Amino acid sequence: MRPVEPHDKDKTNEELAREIQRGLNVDENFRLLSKRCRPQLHSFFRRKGFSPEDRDELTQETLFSVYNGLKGFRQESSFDSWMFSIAMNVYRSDLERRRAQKRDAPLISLTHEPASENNEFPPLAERIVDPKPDQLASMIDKEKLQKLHEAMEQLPAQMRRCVELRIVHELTYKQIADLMGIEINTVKAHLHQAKKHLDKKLRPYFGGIDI
Amino acid sequence: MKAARAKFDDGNVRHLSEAEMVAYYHERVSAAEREEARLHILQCDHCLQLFKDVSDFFDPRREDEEEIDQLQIRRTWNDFSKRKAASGIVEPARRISFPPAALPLAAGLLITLGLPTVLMWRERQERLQAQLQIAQLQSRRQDLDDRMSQTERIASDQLEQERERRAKAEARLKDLQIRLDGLKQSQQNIPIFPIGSESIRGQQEDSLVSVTRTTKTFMLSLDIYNPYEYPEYVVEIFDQHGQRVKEISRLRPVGAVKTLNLTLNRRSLKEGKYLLRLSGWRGGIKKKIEEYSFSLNLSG
Repeated sequence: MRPVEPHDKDKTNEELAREIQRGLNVDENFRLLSKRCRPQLHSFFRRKGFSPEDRDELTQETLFSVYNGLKGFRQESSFDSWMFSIAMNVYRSDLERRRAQKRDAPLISLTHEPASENNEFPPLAERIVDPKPDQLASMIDKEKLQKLHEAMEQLPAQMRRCVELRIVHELTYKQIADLMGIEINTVKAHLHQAKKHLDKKLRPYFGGIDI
Repeated sequence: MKAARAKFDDGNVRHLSEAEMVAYYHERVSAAEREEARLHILQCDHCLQLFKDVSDFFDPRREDEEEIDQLQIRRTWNDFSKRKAASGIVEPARRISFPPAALPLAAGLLITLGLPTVLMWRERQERLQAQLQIAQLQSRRQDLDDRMSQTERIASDQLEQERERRAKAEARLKDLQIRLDGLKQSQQNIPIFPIGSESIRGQQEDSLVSVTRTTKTFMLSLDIYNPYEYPEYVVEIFDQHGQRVKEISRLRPVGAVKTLNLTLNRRSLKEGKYLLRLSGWRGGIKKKIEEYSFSLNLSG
């Protein structure tokens, strides 16, 4: 194997990919490419909430797909963009697989029970869940939602959007700042103000608010 | 992004593609396009999610995130290499690109220069191959000649040895024949005296053995009743005083009538009466069988 020359490290990912496609020093070039990409992939799967073991596995899976797909990489898009697509495919496939595992899990019937001679007990579902929900609790939930809605409506539009992006879409400060076209400190200030306002308005209903 | 702009103006029908979102993230689009995309993303949950995915992928390490362990990277690279080797992936074939004009030029050069060279090279290779085959055949023939001459040499030596052995054997045979003839001649001159026993022949008197003065040796021929009873026999000779004067062992019956022959020297015995005691010999045990008596007369 040819030792890595100093200028190899200066090559872009696209250049490395092109050399691999041509069969030039494949192992070493891909090792270099993998060394660059692995932290990025690892970080991506960590941000998606995977455990360390799953991150390793998905990172390997992505790199394996990259290696297999390099022959078909046409350099029409950037290498990073192409690798992002692969990582997303791996991510979605894994989510789908996990959903399928949940679907295939054995189901327990909540209504059907083995026949008993003296049907003295109500069905299992009726014992677990009250078939007649507490009307008072339902009313309280609706009232809570109403209060939340009213409190949010009282916020300025930009501040309200910041809160939605933070709570509903779980974006970071930076992502919110990028999308909103404002500074990160502004985002932080918005969220701080929103927290104070919502805390004041909703404490009797929700307790403390954490944004 | 122009298509995207039309799309965004048209009620957000189509979402940003991944490539478009990556371009947006890296600010590889114009400011106007970026602003339009941004407004669309803010209004579209789907694109908002894609924006989050792209940001999660491309964002540098965040403040609350730990750095990736380099040791772990090396370890996972090793795992990857093993997996790659186990999967038997064929690495991408090496492709060499040439300028468009290179191919016709190469073809022209090949025709004008390369073809005669190739033909000459081919002829030379065939000639060398033929020479090599001839050399191999000559070497093989030389080897066979060597083996043939070696075989002939060995055979000649063996034949000579056989002739020598045969000549020696013939010479020895001739010598033995001469000695045998001499023995036969001498035996013909030895007088033989049959000695009978009372139990076999009913002989009452002693056998008379009369030896002339010129006779050096004489032979006593003893009748024996059952010659195959013992493998060997012993004869003891006693004088008239009962003194044993001679013992002859390892005797075996000979001749058609199976008699025991004793060759005696004239000087070993004096005139007088003698008793012969015949005993069988088997396994170191001697057993008496018969007795004979004879009178020896040396004056005859």
